Amino acid sequence: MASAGSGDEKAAAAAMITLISSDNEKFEVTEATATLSQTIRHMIEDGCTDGGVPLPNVTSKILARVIEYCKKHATAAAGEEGSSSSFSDAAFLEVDRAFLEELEEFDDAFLEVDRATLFDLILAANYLDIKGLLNLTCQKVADSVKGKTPEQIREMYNIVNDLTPEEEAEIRRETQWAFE
Amino acid sequence: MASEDPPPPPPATALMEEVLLRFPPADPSRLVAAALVCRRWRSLLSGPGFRRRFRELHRSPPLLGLLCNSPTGARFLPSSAFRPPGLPSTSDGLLRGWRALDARHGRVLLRWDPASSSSSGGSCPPLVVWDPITDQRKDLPPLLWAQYPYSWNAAVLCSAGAAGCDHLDCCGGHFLVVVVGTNSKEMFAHVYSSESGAWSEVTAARHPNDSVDFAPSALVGNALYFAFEMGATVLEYDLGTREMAVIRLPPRAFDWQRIALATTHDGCCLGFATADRSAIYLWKREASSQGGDAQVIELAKLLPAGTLSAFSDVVGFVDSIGLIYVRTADGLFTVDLKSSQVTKVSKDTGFSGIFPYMSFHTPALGVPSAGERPSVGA
Repeated sequence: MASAGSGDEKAAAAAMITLISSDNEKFEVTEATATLSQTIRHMIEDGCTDGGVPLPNVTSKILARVIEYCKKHATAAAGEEGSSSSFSDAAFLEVDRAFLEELEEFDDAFLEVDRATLFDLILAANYLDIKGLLNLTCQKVADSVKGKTPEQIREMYNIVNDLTPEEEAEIRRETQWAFE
Repeated sequence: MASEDPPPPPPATALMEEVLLRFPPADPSRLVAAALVCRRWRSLLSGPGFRRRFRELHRSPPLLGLLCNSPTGARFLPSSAFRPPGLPSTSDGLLRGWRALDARHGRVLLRWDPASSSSSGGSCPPLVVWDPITDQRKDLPPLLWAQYPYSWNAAVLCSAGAAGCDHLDCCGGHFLVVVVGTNSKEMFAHVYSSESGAWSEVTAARHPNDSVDFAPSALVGNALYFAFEMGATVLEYDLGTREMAVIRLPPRAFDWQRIALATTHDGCCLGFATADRSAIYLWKREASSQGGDAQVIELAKLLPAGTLSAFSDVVGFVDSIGLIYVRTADGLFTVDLKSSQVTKVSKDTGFSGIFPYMSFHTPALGVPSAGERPSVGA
């Protein structure tokens, strides 16, 4: 390692991680961004990130989106740590609130994707173990079927109804209240 | 121009599980609709893994309804789509002849109290522990009074109490019923354990010169708390030592006002709520003190104009979900402690007690029916 540069720069340089998508595209990210993924955090702890982290389950298109999410939320996490200092006056809380609102707007815009992409994001969040992203994307899908009948849900997700009439009747009988 | 993409394959079960886990517990009909989509979803939703994970993710059981005691019986007032399957739709949610005494850890404690019954002074009225979701019912053996009580109340709880159970899914397990009361001599307690199937020996302590109120009790740590009618003292029953004590509450300007007890949302303190004509007062008892300053909620600003006419009375306090139940001459209202939002629950004021029923509901299919019903619709 070169000895030039201040300690801060060295720390920053040392804290870069290379992520490699399934289609072999390389993404340089800071450790703070990458460690929003528990999977990658464990790899870093085990010292197996030299030469990059291959992610054979994640395409470059999805990985780019995931990194976008992690960058934004890593900043948010850093901001939260900062605000836990002795400053708790109204002005400071105001800044916090504005930042949280901005984060919420970011999340809303982030979720403006087609259904296939949304499921790819869930798959990636699950594989990379990014709790916040998994929650966000799953909640979006959960909310999207609100008020839908079983038939409408099947249509949305291309599911064939393989329940026998008897099985259907059994469910309806045991939870009759849900259909009144 | 571009031909349409072929439809994507249905999502994998593991992914769908993550999504279904995030369905809101307060609307159990949505999981039922999902169970009707296909066999895969049905077996996923009714499996033990999903059942456990759903509870662990959401932690706090949702409010599914209220049991309100009316002159003819206890009425299930739904807060969600859920209706107890044992209550025929023709019954309008009424458990005729029954009165609710308590609801905790997914179980409801009922007492048989038909208007026509001639009171049998020698024993406690028949008690039943009922699971509204599975409709399973357990009749308790008769409890003989040592001496006819001036007042009494009872609570139901998971037999693990505060230790060794998170109470997320313990409904089918063993439970305790604690009966406390006062007679001319003393105050007393009996405990029924479903494990032993029998009532314990009576324990007794000095009389507080007050009567136990028929109002929801509170469980804090390993102790149960019951309100006395005058609102100045609380009965503490220690589940470990089986000892009773009377706790004196800090003096207030508005004594003789009924108080509602609650476990604070963090689970570690006893909370109190009371009301005078225009405000709700909330405070809690901490180990270090008898209770700090009360939090005051001005009702006049929250309730619709004209509803504060004759009286206001706090009839329920559920800090775990941040709700206060207030009765005024105009009906029953909830006040949300976080948002201060007021909702009218019922226009009926002729009830004598309300018991919030909170439990998780995930589809459990193919479970043999309980067979026995609390003979509620009959």
